[in-house]
Amino acid sequence: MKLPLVVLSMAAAYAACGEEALVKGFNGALSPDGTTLAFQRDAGAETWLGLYDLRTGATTWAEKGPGRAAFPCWTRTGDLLYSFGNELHTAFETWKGNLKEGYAIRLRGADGTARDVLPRGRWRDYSPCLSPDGHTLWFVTSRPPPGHPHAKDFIGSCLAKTDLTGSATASIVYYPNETWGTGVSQPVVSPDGKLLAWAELTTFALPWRIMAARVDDVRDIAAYAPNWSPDGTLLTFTGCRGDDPGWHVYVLDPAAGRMRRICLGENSSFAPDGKSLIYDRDGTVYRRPFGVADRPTANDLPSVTTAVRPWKEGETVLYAGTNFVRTSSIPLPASCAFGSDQTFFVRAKVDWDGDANRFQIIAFGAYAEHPLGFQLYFALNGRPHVGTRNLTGRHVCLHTRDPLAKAGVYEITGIRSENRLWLSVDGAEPICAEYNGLIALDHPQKMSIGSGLLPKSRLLSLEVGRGWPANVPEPRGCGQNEWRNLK
Amino acid sequence: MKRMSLLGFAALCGLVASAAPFDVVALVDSLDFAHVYDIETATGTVQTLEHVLLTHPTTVLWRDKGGSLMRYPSAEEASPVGESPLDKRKLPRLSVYGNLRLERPEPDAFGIVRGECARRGLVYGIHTTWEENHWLAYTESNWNVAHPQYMCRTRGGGPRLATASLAWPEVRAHKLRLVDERLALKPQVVFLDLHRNGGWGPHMEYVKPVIDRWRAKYGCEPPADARDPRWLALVSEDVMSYLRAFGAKCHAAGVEFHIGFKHLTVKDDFLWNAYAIDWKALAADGTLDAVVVMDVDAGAKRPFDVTREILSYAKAKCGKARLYFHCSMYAMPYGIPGYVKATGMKAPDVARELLRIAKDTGCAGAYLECVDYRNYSPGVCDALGEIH
Repeated sequence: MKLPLVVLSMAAAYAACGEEALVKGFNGALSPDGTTLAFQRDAGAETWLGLYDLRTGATTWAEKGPGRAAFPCWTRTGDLLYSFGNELHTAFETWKGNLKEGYAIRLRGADGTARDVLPRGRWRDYSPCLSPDGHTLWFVTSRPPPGHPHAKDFIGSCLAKTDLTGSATASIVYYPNETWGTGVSQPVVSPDGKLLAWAELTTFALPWRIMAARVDDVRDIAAYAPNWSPDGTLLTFTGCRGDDPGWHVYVLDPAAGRMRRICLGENSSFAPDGKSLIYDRDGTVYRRPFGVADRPTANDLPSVTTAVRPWKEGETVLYAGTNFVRTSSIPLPASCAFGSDQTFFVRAKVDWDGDANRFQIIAFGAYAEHPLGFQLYFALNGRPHVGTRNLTGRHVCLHTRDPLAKAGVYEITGIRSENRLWLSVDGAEPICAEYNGLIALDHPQKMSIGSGLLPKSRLLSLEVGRGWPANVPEPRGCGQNEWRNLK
Repeated sequence: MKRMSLLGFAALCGLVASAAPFDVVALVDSLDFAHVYDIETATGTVQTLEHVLLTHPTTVLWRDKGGSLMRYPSAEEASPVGESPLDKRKLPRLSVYGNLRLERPEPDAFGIVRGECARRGLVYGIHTTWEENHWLAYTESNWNVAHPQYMCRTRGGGPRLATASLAWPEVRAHKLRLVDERLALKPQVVFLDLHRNGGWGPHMEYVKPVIDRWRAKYGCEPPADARDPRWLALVSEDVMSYLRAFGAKCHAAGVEFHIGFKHLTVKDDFLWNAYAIDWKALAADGTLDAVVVMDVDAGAKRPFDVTREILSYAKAKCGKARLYFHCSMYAMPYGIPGYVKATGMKAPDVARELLRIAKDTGCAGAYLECVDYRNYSPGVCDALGEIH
């Protein structure tokens, strides 16, 4: 084959720069000790996965057909992750027979044994990456996002993860666009485990971009209006994370990957001396001092500052926290997958400020199925509410008939069963609302705690549990005390 | 060429137009049958063709690709990682379409269709598209993706990924090698479908070769509006050169070259503004053997009259090339469903009327775009059968 002169001259120039041909193949990945190169090699209808020993020049094969192995990725302990598929049938046979011949993520130990991390389906799981702690496997999948209108003919790819130490289920974390035919690829976790970068492929007509976010914040933030600090080390912008009650002024340290939420407001910018921030809120322009203490630090997000009792699988109480002095957002454990039929409760002890005119969110749980899977909040002149989503994703909620009488400490318990919501205040007999069905909550993502409370209100404790809560009377049915909001 | 010679002989003999055969040309995208037949097999290919024959075509044009998803072993579009998920730039598709591998050598779909058409006395050809991409991101051309240095760019320099600019000689050479590949499939006709363009247009030809030519010629920066006649003229140099080379290759192989486009009006400015193509010039200089009006905007008030006026205009401008109209069940944007909506007539009656107008205005035939599974009702198929 004749190569153009320009290609030959470029190759010569690269060789002069120390470029060295290692092995025929592509998608090379060096092992953590730098001695072994994992790579793909196309072999007709197969794609092999080779292990090239840089010391000896010898190649052994981790996968040598039949099938296709792709995207090798080493773990810190020297295991190998890759995507593997072996499509034996025609598309028609696969489709008609619903044959599970897609691509799955395969984990190959140093001893040569290999296993699929997740069950194989018709979908394609690929481009894996393991978190530095070895617990979370990030990958891309062709499984559709929950509730996607083109679920049966989904074109695109989603960012997904699974907990290698827990149940082997894929949790879809992010999909770039609600239209058809966009996707992501190649998630990679930063060495400190805090940041995730990936490629975003928003159709062939638009530029592809590299995106990055905190691992616990992948799809959370909508942001605009950036402005640099005078020294160029910080960015301020307007943003709204999933648990923010409105647009906020944020400050980001791009080099450190740290971010701090400053206050409610929009259109922020630094003063020329960098010592104050200018922004607006509700039609008024404000200025506030900005000093060294306001710079984002490693602990800023997530902003949990309280000791939280760790949950254990199988416990009735899945999460319990007390003495919240700041708002926070925590990952919801896999045990908070309640499906559509399991009874669970969210109980909060709140020191309510008595401001009956303001909407105040106590807590909400975000799921892949819906970012507001469950909610506990005050609204409608100081009435406690419990909310969730119905089968079509619409908001449904239940609230007390009367507003709370005055400011004070209240224990509010929201309970959800297969088709009912219950609400109890201070252990009183719960009121109830009944629905034709409620959204399945299969893929827990995170819980926002106290983020929507006004400054004078305080969340004293929060519990999430499975089953009926111990200190709430058993219900006598649903109807007598019904007080539902039909919106 | 044999077909052209016969037509020329007929004309010389003074045969009246009405005595000439009226072609019914079926465009076939086999991918659209993937949920019905196993089109990755020889049996499924024949089943697809037999379903298409229910529309009584005299010519069958088989699509050579769906976007970049080639239907034959293409050297130009070959890539060791050209499919999802092996190429992580290609998005996967969950339904049956996402698993198709039609570029494998077996079965030889084009050989099968060619043989079946010959056995049945039908003309066989290739339906190809302007750009190797389709609309969705799993159909990017392998070659285009492998050559980002040639990608199209918009006025501000923004890249149009996976779309390659004809201003680069390397791109024109690549596209002409694709023509060679199509001709190696031994068609009698190659139909270049301008409608399926992957979003391409002169507005994304702000690439170095064109910008350099502009600066040399006008001494200023290129215009912001890509419909500037001077800008269109520059883009047109590359486009027309490519099309003439395309036609020359076809003719050298004894193959007819047809192009088709939509949105024709008597104002006739769409193709120039959207593609920088002067179709009348190509018809006049013999590059084209046929021009296919794939759709007209017939409006809602007197759609058949408007259609007749537009076709009469096109016939007058067609030069030596034959003119074809459509009898399309696709409503992109008009088609038979558009006439049904405008007139309240039934689809078979609309089909008969369109065929009558096509004959009256001197069209050589009608293109069916595309024949999918059961999208031509039995009534419309009957109407198509009556035309012969």
